Amino acid sequence: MTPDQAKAIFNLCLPGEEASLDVPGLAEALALAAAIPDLATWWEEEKNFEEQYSRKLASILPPPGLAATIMRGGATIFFASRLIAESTGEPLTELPPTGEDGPAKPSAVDVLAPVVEPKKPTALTWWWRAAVLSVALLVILLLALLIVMPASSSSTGPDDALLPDFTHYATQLATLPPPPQSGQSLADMQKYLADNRAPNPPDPLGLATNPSGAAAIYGGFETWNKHLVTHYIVQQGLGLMHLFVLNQTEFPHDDVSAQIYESTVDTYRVQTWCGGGFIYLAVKQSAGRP
Amino acid sequence: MSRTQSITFKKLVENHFASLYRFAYCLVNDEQTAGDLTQHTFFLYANKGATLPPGVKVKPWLYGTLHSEFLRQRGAPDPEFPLAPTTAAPIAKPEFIAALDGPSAAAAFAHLDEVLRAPLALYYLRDLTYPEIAEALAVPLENIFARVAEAKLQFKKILAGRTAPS
Repeated sequence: MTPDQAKAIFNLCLPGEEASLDVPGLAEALALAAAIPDLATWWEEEKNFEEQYSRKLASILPPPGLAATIMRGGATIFFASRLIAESTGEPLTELPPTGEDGPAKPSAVDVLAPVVEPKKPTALTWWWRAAVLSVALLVILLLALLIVMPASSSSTGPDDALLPDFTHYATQLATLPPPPQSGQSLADMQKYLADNRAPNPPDPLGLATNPSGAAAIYGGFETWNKHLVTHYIVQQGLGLMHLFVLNQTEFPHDDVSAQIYESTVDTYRVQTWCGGGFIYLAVKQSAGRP
Repeated sequence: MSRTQSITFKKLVENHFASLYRFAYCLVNDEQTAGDLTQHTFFLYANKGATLPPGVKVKPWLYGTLHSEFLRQRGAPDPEFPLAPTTAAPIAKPEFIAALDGPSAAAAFAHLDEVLRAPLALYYLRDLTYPEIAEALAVPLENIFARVAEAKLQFKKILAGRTAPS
């Protein structure tokens, strides 16, 4: 081995002895450096440079709050995944072990990731499946919106005094017989609600009646591992409109405010706001969608 | 998601988010974009981590995913880099290196051939071994050796030709 060949090998050495073992020929190059002082000096200078540059890069600090944002986003995704798994009845696939597990203080992730095992899947109506899947999608969309788009506002959210309406509505729904479990259609659901004299869901934003001709036809109220999810399916012309209510205590998002944040995602118009400890997501189909 | 699972994710973020952010910063030289890339990488893991094939190491996967996302956002394919013999490089002026801060050190990567930036950044970040760098960038190990050697040659020539920032 010549000194130039040894330098070429040293040139590949990672700063750090352990990692350097990956480089073939290193032992021979080191032996040569031990015998040639100039080569040894060059190698020392080289190592100093590598160490110094690595330290420079290591001094780059991530923005404050980045880790917390990532953990909060991860918790949101896990929550959505759990909803999907429950709605489809398929088992929830868990993250593989990374060898990096260990005791950790309770955090937003720990709080948000439910500890209680999920309910066993039951026979689910297509309404419920659609609603749950939509919630999962919307949670992800909400996260993306909060991260990517600047906040804007046009009006305030509903008065907190409306919240008892939700509770009252849920109580009324609980007194109804179970909805049809199979073969449902929009007409079937409407007949079921009419036959049972089901109440109209609360309509804090007037979403169900604006534009005219729309009507809230069904509402659900679900406590899911402490995650309160209220959902409506609203007939609006030929399409549907959804309104979701999430418990902000169990599902915190610091960026949501009392003012309505409105945006368009794909073919949907999404409004997000919070009030009285709840996050609201209202989703309408855009006018351009058939 | 069980408590164990959430702890797994939390530990993963705690252990790697800073290194991944630095890698992203070396690629894009922009705080906001680097943060977005880092976030997106972890969100992809939250979504797909449970379905990774057995034997896939998480750490190289995170770096590789971040790099792939960087390439995807940039919109151009990663060009092939020919294997070539290498020679020793000049040493940069010590006073120049000493005067650099972290972002300036990362900004120097922008002067490298694009295909060499990721291997050299990973080399200096010291979080991955050579086989892990090869795994992360989906490049044969021998090719990684060649890329790092060439990158260091280019890099030191670039640095040696510059003066200390005032």
